[in-house]
Amino acid sequence: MMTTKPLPLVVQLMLLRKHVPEGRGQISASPKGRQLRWFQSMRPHVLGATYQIELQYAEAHRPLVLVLSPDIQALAGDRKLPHTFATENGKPSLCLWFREDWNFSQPVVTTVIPWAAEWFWFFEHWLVTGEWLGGGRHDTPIALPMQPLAI
Amino acid sequence: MNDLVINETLEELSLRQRAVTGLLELIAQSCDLTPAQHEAIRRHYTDKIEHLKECTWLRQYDLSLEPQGSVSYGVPVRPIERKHSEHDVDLLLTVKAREGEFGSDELHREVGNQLRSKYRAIMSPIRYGWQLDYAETERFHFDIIAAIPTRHAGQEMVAVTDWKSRDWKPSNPIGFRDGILQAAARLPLIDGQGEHLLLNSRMNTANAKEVIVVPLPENTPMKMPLQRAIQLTKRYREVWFSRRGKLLQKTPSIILTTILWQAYERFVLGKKFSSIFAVLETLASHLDDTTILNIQVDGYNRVTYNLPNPTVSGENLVKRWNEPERAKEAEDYFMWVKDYQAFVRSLTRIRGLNWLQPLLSEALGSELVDPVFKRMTEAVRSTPTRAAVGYTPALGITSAAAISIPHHTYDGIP
Repeated sequence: MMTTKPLPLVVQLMLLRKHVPEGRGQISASPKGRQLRWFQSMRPHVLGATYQIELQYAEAHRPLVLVLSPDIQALAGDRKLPHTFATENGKPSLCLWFREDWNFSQPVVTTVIPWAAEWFWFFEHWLVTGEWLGGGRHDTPIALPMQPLAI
Repeated sequence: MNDLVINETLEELSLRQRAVTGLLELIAQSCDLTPAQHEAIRRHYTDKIEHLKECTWLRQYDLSLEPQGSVSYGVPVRPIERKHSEHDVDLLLTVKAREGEFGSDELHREVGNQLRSKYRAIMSPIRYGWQLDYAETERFHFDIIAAIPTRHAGQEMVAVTDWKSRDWKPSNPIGFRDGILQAAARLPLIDGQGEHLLLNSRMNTANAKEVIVVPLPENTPMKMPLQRAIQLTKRYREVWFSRRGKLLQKTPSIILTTILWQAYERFVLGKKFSSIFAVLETLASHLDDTTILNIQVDGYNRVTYNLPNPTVSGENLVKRWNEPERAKEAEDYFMWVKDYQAFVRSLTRIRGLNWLQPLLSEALGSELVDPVFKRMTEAVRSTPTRAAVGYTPALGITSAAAISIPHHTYDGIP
C-alpha cells in the first residue's frame, strides 16, 4: 500500500506547463472530484507522427492518457490495440504502467508523459510488423477502472 | 494516409534530415561486408596469388593481384534474387608481360588451367576471366580478371582478356577505384552544426572504456556521403528492376557509379549544404543531368547517349543504349531515375515510423530495412541502452534528452 504523500494537482499542472509550454490544461470539478485535464501533442521520435493526447487525472484516481487524434483504432484496422483500455467515449486510453511503477507522489510529466511517447513508438512499430516490442503484462484491451484507487 | 509535414521549424527539419541520413547509414551498413567476410577474402586472396605463382607458365612474369570493383571502393551491395545473396569481389591479376608476347586467349587459358588444378569444383568462366564461387560457405565470389599492362590514348592502364571477342580490351579499373576513393575522401561543407558536433562527439568517445552506442539514427553520422549514395542507389536499382522482373536488364553499376562520382565532383565538392541529406538529394537530382550523361537527338529524332568513362579515354559507358534493340534499357533507366528521385524527396516529408518503414522496405528491401527499425525500437526498452535515451516534448525519445524515462511495465489495472 502506497504511503507517500500525493503531489497536489496544482503542482502537477505547474510542472506540466513548465516542461510542455505548448500544452493546455486546467483543474475543475468532475463527477470523480477535482480533476486535472491536460491537452498536448507529442511524438515518439523526431521521425514519428504527431499525436494529440488528453491526460485526465482526478484526485485519488489513476491518471488516464486518452488518444484524441489520429484515430489509432482506424490505423490498426480490425486488429485489437495492444495495451489499451476501452473507454466510454470511444477514445482509447493507454495502459502505461503496472502497480508500483507509479504512485501519486510522482510528477506525471516525467513519468506518464514519456511513457506515452514510448507507447507511440512501440505502436508505430506494431502497426507495421504486428510485433509489440514494449513488453508488458497483457496485450488485449481491458476494462477501464472506474473506482478510486487506494493511496 | 501519409502524415505529411506542413509546418515545421528549420531546426526540426534539420533534425529530421539528420535522422533520415542516420537511418540510411544504418541500412547501408548492412550492405557492407562483415569483418569475417573481409578476413575470409584476405585469406582466399593470398591463397590465390600463391597458387598462381606456382604455375610454370605464369612464373616467367611478375604477377600482381589486387582488388578492384565495388568492394575495393567501399560500395558493395547485397544483390537480391541470388540464392546466397552473395557479394561480387573483383580481383585484377596483372601479368607484367609486354604486349604481343601472347594473345588474350592464351592468358585466359593458362590462368584457367592453373586455377582449375586446385579450384575445379567452384570455378566457372566469365566474359573477362574466371569466377570462384564461395557463396554457399562465405557469401561472396571472386571474379578474377587477367590483364597485361598497356598504354591507351597516352594513359597507363591494362588490357584485360575478353573471352567473347577473343581479344584484349583496354580497361582502367585501378584508376577508376582510386578516382572514386580520392573523391569520396573529400567532403563538402555542411552548414548544419549539429552534424559536425555529432561527428566530433563520436570521435571523442571513441577511446572511452565503455561506450553505450544507442542505435538511434540521429546518433549515426554518415561519414562518406559519396560511397553511401552509390550503395543506396545501387540497392534501389536492384529492388526496382527485380520487382519488375527485369533484373537482367538492370542498369550496370559502373554507369550509376560514374554519374554519381561526376555529380559529386561537379555539384557537391566545394559547395555548402544545409545537411548531408541535402547532398544525397543533390546527387539523386543529377542522375539524369545531361551535362554528365550526354544526349544528342539528330534530325531524324534518333537519340544518341554518351557517358564518357573518366578513366578510359574515348570509352562510352552507355554505348549499348545506342543499339536499337537495347534502347529500352535507356528508357528504363530514366523511368528508374524519376522513381528514385521521388523516393529520396519523400524521405523527409513523411512523418510516422509506420509510414517510413514501409516506404524504405518497398524501396530497399525489407530484409535490410526491417532489422534496422527493430533494433532501434528494441534499444528504447533494452538495458543498458535505455539509460542513454530520454524524452523531450518537442523531439520525442532521443539520446541526450532532458527527461530520463523511469522503468515501467505496460499494463492495465493493478
